[in-house]
Amino acid sequence: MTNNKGNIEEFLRKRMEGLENELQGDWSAFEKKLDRAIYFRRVRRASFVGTLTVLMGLVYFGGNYFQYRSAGSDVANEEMMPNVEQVITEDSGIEEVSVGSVVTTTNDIVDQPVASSHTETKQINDLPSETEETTSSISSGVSEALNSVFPALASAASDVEASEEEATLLALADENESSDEQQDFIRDFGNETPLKLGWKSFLDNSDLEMKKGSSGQTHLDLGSMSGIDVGSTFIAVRSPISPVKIKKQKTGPYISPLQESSPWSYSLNVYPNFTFRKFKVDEDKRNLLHRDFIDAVEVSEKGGFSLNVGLEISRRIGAIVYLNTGVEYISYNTNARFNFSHFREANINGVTGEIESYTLKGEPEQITFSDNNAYHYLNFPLSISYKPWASDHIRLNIETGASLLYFMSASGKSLNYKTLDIIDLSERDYNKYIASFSVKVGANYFVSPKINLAFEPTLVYFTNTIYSEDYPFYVIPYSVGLNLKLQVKLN
Amino acid sequence: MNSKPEHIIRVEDLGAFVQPKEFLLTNSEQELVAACKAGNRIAQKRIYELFSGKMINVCRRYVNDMDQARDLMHDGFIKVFLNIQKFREESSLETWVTRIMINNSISSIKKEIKKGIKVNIDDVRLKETETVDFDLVQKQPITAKQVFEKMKELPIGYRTVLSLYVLDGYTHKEIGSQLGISEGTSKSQLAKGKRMLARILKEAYL
Repeated sequence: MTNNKGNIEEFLRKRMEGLENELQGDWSAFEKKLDRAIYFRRVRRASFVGTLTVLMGLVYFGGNYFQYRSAGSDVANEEMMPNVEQVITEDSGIEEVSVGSVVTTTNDIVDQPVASSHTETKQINDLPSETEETTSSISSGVSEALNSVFPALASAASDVEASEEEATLLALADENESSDEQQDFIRDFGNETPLKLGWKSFLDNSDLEMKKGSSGQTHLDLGSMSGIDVGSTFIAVRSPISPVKIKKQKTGPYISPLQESSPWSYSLNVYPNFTFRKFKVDEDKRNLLHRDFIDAVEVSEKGGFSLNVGLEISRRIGAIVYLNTGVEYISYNTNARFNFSHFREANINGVTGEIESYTLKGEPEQITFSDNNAYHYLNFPLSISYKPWASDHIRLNIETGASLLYFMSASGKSLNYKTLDIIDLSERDYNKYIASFSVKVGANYFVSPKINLAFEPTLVYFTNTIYSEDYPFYVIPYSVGLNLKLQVKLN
Repeated sequence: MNSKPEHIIRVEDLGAFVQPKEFLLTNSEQELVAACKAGNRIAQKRIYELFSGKMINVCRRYVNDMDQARDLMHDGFIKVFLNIQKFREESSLETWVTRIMINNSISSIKKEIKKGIKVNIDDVRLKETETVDFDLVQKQPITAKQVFEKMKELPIGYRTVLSLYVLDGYTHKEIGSQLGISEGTSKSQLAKGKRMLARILKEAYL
């Protein structure tokens, strides 16, 4: 038994070492493939950078949007806060006590009768100027004195939610902001709210302990209260009030003034689009294709630009959520450049259609032509989009959907995949309908309510090949668009 | 005094160095790699011309069809040039390029290889004790090309493992992970492949 294991391995290594083939004239064919690969790598990198930029823009604008919104909601809350004085003056019933209604006593006020009805209270309330003047003169001891005299007030006030009190104080602070006297009130009373300071229960004269002072004037024994003099046995009090919850208005997403008022909108869209095709050979059917066809088509095609036009119909289904449909004319353009030597004919099996061998041609034929290949479709999209406003003029758009494409025509030149004869694209059979899915993330700039410019990178993937025949190769177009869209509202 | 490299022209008026289009290459691999990393097309062409002859045979070990092998080689060189930045010069450039070619070739026909390995090859029923006297065979004036052609007659599984182990220096563990088979299967395929090749060569040249 001869051990041939080591022998054959050594034999193979020695024989195969340095075995080389000379591939003459191969560099040019390879160079085209290399150029194409470099080109697509740049497109991939550009798409990645573009997507990253858009995402960063979304994060930035989204952050600003939410910041804007939260700042706006604070303002909105304050704005929505009912002007308490107005509530009292405008409303039919007294529901709240405002700063202006803190009871102060002056000789003038004292002269007024005690309010026993709402209307009378309203009259009392209609003394804003006097009230404001006297408000500033109330010392800090008043609050403590009042609370000690009217403990029910203090406890009742504590029942009211702190946020409502703060809201009231905010509103009151705004009202009082304009004058130094009003600032003094805030300083003096600090966290004390008018609800605590005011009266919650109806007071009648019997609740008040009146004392006659040395001057002969009656005083309300309120401890260290100063500056308050009672010239009569009456103290003007307000009519009964009851605590009211100040409801904060619910704030939804920010809506720009430029947003359309009607839920339906119709617009004309115009946008350029970049398309490239993925050309794939079915491995099981490679024998059905002329070898040189695969090489020629792979290096010949480059993506191309096209201009798409469409009518879009949108229905607003939420504050900023839309359902979109419409009809578009779209075309997918590719640039085809062929430059190769047709030096062999395929010998085709008549039964199976497979290429069994090749026969060299007597004289090689140089095939050189370039053409713009275009595939025209009517597109019927259906999508849902979420469009928050980042500012008055800038609106984001996150959209996804599907569409049905109806094939209209194809124009341009290509090669017959078996014989390498030049053919017109219209000679091939195409699927009448193809479907696609799309994702779009971008931003719109509203020049006016009716015109906006959009930058919306879009990725569209087609679910089936464009050819209907049982071709041994299939072409699935990917549409990658850094779409710059001009949208004109028609209503 | 600074010696001027051959491939640099000094433009005295501009006071700057200008590199002309024609880059006179030296034989140094390092310079070639550096030029390729800079995207120099002539350097790329030089590397292609240096290695394409060998690489086409590397690819042809794994696919029978010459055109398919050429496609694989082109794809391999594209990967070489697009990823040249990753070449760390820990091995020779040829070794690195060869590895890329092999990986590329095997990836493209992995399904076929696995299928071939799983098929019970009964074309040549070799008994375990049967041996081939190879001493006489290796004394025959058989050219490399002839050996190469005969290797193509092996079933794809045998041929792949034989090429990877004997010619490309892969271990059985590496072959197993590359093809998705066990080490034992790899060893078995190798043994059967060698026996079969020895028999084919003996029948052809003795």
